[in-house]
Amino acid sequence: MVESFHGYRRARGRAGIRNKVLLLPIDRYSNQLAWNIDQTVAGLTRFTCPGDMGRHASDRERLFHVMRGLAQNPNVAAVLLIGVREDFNYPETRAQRMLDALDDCGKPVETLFISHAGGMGLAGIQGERIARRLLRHVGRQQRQEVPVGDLCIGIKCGISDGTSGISGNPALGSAMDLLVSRQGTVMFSETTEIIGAEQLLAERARDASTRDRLLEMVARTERQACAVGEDIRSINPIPSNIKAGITTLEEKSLGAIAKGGTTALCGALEHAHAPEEPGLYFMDGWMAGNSLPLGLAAAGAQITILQSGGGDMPDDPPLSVVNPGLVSPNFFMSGNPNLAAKLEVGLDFDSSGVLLGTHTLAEIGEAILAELAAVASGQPTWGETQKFMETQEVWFDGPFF
Amino acid sequence: MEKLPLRVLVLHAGDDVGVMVGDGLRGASCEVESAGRKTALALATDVPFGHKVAVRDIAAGDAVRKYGQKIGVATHAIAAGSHVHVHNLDGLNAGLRGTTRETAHG
Repeated sequence: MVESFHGYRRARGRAGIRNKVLLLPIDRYSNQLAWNIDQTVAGLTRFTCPGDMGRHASDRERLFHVMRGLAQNPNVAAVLLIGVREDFNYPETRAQRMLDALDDCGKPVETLFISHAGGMGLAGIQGERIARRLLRHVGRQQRQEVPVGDLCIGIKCGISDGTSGISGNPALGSAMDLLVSRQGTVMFSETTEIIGAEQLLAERARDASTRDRLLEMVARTERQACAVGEDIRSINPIPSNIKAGITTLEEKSLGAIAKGGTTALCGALEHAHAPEEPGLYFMDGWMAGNSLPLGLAAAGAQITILQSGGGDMPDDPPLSVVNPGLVSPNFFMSGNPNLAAKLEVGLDFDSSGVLLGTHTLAEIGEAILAELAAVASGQPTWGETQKFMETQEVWFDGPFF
Repeated sequence: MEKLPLRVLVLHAGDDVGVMVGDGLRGASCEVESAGRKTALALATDVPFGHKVAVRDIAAGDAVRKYGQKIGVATHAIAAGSHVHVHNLDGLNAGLRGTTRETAHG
């Protein structure tokens, strides 16, 4: 039975499972400077800012929450915030607001402004020095034993197929039930993937406000699809789901909601907003694998999970679909024995034993949690062994102006 | 890889469909597992791995259940042992444009 892992204790909040120095450009001009620093300094983690220009206030607010959340993620030990100057952005994403929000985060937050440094070239030299100093500083920290309940896991399912609702999501759900019973935190998302099953989730809400918020998120998503003249059911299931045997959105959703387990729903969070207490949470978000891990990491997940059916994946499936949440490792698992057989490398956990009748859900759940604890203690996921990192998109509602 | 036995898993007692474990060919005999009981079923059509197969006759217009919940409505009569998919099953709110909607629950 998994009770603990070895992580980096933080002055505030949960322990980190990695010890990263984050380059955080807060406008698009600063992306190049961050990239320049990243080319010469080893071992940094670099965000790419989509910028706030031409975006409406609630999208700018969301960008702020994503950037702040990444900086606050327990896996980040130090931050180098990079901007043009203090008052360059709209008020929502302005540097000073970010610095105020990170003021009590308990980790070093350095700043670098292109205007003050005297242009890009000089800022680059200054930035390299700061980044190298931060790396040396955080490298002194050592792992210590912490309760497994310090884990916050963000989960997503992908390329769902007929196995997802049997040996995929329920297997992961079994592990998440165990984690919640040990005071851990679990978040799942993808508002389009609960449609048709939202009443079942709503019945598990701990209080009326959680229930109402959840149902409003579903209604909002349906309205957004209607606003562009589409039935949400023609967007989801995706062609890959249908090829692999999923027919209707209700069917897909009923299989998908199992990934969070069976415990009470403690809250319905806005995108990239962190849960305040342990337990199971739903977070508003879209279904894209190239974006959602970022939002889950911004909400505080130290590990993001992709639970994949994979029935319609090609041979030797490309790991480009396995996106790390930038600051949080991505754990790739499947309950499809055919996918597991195709993947010599890349699959962090194979739960197909549930489908084949060789393992019970309870056995698999405990084994998944043990593997997550190993990753939390330092074992790289398969995704972390690759240099390739697709640029993660921040989720915006639009329209854009 | 070792060939999988041809099984059909019924996820909730009373479901109209089960999930094919293995690639089912028309005429093949399957073992249907439901609530710990096993019964035989002959396939009336091909049913690919992970796809749904009717474990009883379903009339056109009937709700179809999986996970103990309604996942859609049969658009044609479906004979036991047949592939159930987009050609004979539609979602509960097909064609909905933001009007009243029914959910899987209830």
